Amino acid sequence: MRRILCVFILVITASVLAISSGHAFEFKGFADVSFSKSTEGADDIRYRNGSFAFGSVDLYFAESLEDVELLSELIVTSSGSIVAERLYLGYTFSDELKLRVGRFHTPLGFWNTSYHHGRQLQPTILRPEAVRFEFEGGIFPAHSVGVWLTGRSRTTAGMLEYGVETSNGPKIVSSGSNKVLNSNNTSDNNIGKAVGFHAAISPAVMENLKVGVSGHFARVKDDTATAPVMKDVDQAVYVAAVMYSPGNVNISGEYFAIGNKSESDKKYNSNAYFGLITYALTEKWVPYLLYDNMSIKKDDPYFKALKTKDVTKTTLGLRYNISYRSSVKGEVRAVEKDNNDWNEFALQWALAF
Amino acid sequence: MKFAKLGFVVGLITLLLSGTFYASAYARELAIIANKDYPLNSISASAVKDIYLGEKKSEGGVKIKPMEQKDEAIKKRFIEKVMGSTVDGYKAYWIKKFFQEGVTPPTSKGSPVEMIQAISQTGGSVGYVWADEVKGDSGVKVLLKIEVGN
Repeated sequence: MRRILCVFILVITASVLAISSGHAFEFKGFADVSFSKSTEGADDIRYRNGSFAFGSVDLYFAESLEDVELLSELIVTSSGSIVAERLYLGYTFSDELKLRVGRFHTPLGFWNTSYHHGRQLQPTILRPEAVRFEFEGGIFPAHSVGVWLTGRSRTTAGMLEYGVETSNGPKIVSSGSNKVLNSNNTSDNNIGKAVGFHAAISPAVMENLKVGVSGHFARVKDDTATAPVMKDVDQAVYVAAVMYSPGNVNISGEYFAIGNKSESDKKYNSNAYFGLITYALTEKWVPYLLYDNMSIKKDDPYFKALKTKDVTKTTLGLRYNISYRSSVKGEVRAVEKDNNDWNEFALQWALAF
Repeated sequence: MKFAKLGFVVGLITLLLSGTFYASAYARELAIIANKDYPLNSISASAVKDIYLGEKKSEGGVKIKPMEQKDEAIKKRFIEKVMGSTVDGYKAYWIKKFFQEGVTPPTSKGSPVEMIQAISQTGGSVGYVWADEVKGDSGVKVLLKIEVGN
């Protein structure tokens, strides 16, 4: 309750500042509520009965002081805790070169930086398996703490976007009876820094197409004492992503190739991918179809530690845009996970404020 | 009788043409204006679009500060004709852009007079007004004029 009160005070203070300063200070947020139900076989028993839930309240603000930028994003989770989601300082040298230092969304593929906790922006209710958050059992660090150099440039070939980043390598920590990834917010637990790159182009001859590649390389250490404790793994992730929006149709897809190398130099290669197609019947009604797959090497120590299983999921949904700020989504999912299969039904009402 | 018919057709064509000329004579133009110290003296429509989408933030080492109008009529015309979007689509775009990159949307000015005054006093600023609202000594320069219909 005290935490929620703190957030409330923060919101009021920020709003007053925003009104009184009258310049480039912006304060925004997202919120969502949902209902989910699944049939026999689902691995999360809470949803079998049908559950209402408020997802999260996402509060973020940014200030631009000439070339210096500040962005802060706080999440109030459904359990009432407050999480510092993003916090970075930025300096803009030019459109071609910007520096960001702090905690940011890992620029791996398009989905992770495009939607993140903004459920109103996200075309579907859930994130695809490959880009799930760390606390949900995600397999990549959705967040990084470090330095990110990025930029964009309009050339005769088209709009180029690019960047490189270096950050604290992720670690594995305990979360209840499970182990999850953690982005090492305040210190690194090994000397090897994670490094990453990303590049994308929207060709001048086809501006509604965007293709990109990205990579992330890190040494992951298991910081738990829960057996089996994973020995350090050197991880290399490569992502190919595409987004194409001809008229009312939007097609996007991402492919993840994951290579984990154990201390004994044994290599394990796994992959994950998803494809999404949405079709705007009108501005209000947008049906969509998401196909989602993850295939992992069974004896990979990294995936063993995270208890990751093979998953195939097909999602058929319909989005209704109440306004540009609010939407309701309804979904039916067919899930196959580790030799079990079940169906899920979900509704979500999301808002941007 | 033939001459009467011909006269009628000629008259009709003249009427239609004069209507067209009248309409085009009164088609309004938007002027893209900038502070007098802005590095360029002209700009393309696609560059204006990039600026108002937050894709282009500097020009010749100067930080661009886009401004927009609170007046719904001119704002709607600008968004539809120059940005190629709807007002709601443009607002939704800025929610996404601000969330994804922390780029703040253009600041709003209450009236053309206020916008011209703000632009004349702010280095790197860019805005839009009706072309006939720009006077010679207003302290701004016109980078581009775009015809946006009646």
